Amino acid sequence: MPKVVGIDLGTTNSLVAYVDDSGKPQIIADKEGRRLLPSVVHYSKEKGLLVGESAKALLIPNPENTIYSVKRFMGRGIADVEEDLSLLYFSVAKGSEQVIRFNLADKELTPPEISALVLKELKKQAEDFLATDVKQAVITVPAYFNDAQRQATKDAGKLAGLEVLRIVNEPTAASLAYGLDKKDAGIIAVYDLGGGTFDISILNLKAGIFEVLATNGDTHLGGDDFDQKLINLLISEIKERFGLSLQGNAEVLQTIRRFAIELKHRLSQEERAAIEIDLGDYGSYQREFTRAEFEELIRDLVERTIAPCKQALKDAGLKASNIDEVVMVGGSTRIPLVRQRVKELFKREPHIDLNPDEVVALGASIQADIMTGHRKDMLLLDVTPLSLGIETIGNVMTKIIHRNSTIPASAHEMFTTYVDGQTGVDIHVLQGEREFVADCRSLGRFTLKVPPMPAGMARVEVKFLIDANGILNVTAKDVRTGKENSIDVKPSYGLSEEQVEQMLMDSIEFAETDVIERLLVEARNEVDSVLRASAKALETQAAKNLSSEEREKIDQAISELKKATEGKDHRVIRASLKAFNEVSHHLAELMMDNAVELALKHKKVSEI
Amino acid sequence: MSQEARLLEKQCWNCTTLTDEHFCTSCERIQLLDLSTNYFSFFKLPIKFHLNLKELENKFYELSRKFHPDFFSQASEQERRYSTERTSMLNDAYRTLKEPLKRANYLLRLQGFKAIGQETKTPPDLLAEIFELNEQLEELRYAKKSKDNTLFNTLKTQVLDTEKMLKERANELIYNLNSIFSLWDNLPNNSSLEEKKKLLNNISDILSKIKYINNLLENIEEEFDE
Repeated sequence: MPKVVGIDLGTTNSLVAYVDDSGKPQIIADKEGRRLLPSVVHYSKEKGLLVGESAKALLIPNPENTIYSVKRFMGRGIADVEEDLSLLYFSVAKGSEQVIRFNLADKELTPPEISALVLKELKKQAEDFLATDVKQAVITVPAYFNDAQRQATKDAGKLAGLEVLRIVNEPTAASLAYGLDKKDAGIIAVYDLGGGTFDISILNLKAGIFEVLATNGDTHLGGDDFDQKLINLLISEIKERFGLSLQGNAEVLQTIRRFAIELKHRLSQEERAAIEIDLGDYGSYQREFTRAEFEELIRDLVERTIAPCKQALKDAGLKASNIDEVVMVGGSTRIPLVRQRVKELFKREPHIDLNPDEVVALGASIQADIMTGHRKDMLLLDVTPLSLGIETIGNVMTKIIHRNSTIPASAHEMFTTYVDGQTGVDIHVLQGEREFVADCRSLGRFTLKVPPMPAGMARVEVKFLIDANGILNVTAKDVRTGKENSIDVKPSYGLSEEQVEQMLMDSIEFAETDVIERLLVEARNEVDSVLRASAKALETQAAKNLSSEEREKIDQAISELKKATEGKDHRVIRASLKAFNEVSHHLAELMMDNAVELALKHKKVSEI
Repeated sequence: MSQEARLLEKQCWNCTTLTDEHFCTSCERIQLLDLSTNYFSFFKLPIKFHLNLKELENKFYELSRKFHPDFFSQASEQERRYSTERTSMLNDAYRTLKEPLKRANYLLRLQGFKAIGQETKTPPDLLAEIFELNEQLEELRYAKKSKDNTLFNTLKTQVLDTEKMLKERANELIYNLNSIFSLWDNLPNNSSLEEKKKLLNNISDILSKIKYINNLLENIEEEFDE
């Protein structure tokens, strides 16, 4: 039977999980045993398309063509992300008002397309492991994602060739994985601080039903922001000490970013950490940081998570003292200051027993298991994080479905005409909590078509339905005739259905060239590491024991290998690799006790 | 016959058995939602204000387990749609009925009364208190702006006193609402239209006052929220 997998499509890393035959959720690792797939995509003429670790390795040497943290751009227009863009090293194409388009070599790719490449990689990873087709998936999103961001995620799934059975909120998914169902009843708070987003969800657990009472958050707050604080500090200190301005130097900035991330990780474990950055001719930047210093730097950001927590408690009609359990999710909850603040707020020790990077994917796989009918004892009842409304006279947003309503949820509104012979009624749908239209998120506009009649005679009932994915569906009915009106909602942000279809067609072409390019790049990379390892091996004492005949054969195979790599046929490269392995067999044997042997056997570029 | 026509005839879309349940009594397929169903009848409850909340909650969980879309992901598109529509009705109904004020408003609407919206009139018997409160709030804002802590704390005490008084008033009104609804719930079937209308007018009046006070209380709360 085909498997349905659970996918955590994260800002920094993505994971795929499934529930095994014994009913246990498991993370699916790739062939190298890696459980986290970096959400990084590279595309260039030279290297082709790369996803994950191999793309991440190119962040520094080729920052312009390597995209990371794409989740921050899902369902957004360029006006929303101006601030982020000034910090990035890749560029955005013209016409990015409704959907952002990144320039990657000769292509322009949207966030859903980039995410689809990550999803495809996970799909392949799962198919290799399970030895079966994977066509359906449950994908998680931050609970505080709006309609457009959810739709963009669903589009990404479709573009990756996956039927998205459900978009599940990350904190809710995590609660499924925490084994809290063994508790009979209780109130749980899930605090989820990831790479780019923050969520807080308050759940009522009762006999296997996970009922979300309230959720809140910030879709622009996470580990990336902590990194940026450190990056800014490093840049300004380097400028001060060496008079060296790094602005605009993408390569160096990516290096600085890597140092900042490393610092953050180390200061979460240790009280102090020293770094040294080689600045070439300028010298070397050395500095020791203390944890206290780091905490001072990020204190304001951590504080920004507190107000949403308080609001969620208030919306749930609860006090911090009513919370029975606090669960921590997301890599950023490893930071001691974050744990401390959460502990202070809820006055209890938060759960940190599960790996915060994996718990969301595990939960998503449990949801997939529920949806395929394997378990009936658990059920998630989630809510919509933002109020849904329509524009009314005076640029006012009138709420029709309030935030924290259990989904699916619906609202019926009656519309009529104001002028004799009027044939259309314009409706503007919004999401948000503020009073005026300008302060809310525009979801889309549509025009209700009505036959010409005297003013006020037409009666059209519009049904707004937020489905279990948190995505809006609109239908309309002419009350007089009982006929369904067709509605064409023009989304304010994101892709139209036609655009998604077009991308699906285009990606088939893209896919075929992709595979070939990818095989070529992989083969070349392998040759690269083999050549380096063998060069090392040939310099060792052990190599002296080779007969001159053997040595000659090896040298010849190496030169053939080099020649093959210059060509574009991956099969030729593979064949010469095979030939080389055969002649170098004895060399490998001779090196048995040597550490370099390892490099020859496990020829992994990143480790050499 | 179209699905809609079947619905009017209360026939199962799949096996045409006569059925008026969430699931067909014969083939057990989920049924198309009849949009004329009201929230009370959806839960098989009489149209009364007083209800057992515990029972309502249990029924909500029980029905969620039956027709939540999570359990229909591998079903036909039609059944998936029915499940989503039915569950959205369940959620909307539960949300409305579990809150006394929402339930009261809904009941009024079912009886053809206009719902009490945002446009509440100032209740005449509260005019003096409201006037005073607005003055206090204005001064409080000024004290906050000019960072006059002594003045702020004095005014805060005053506002909190008014808040306490308003809360008591609201509780009284809710008590009244409950008793009038008890009369309504126990009206004999043959009671006159006049009699019904009198009670409903009374209820509507009280609801509008409660709404007004709740708005005031919210304003006060906002003032002290950081």
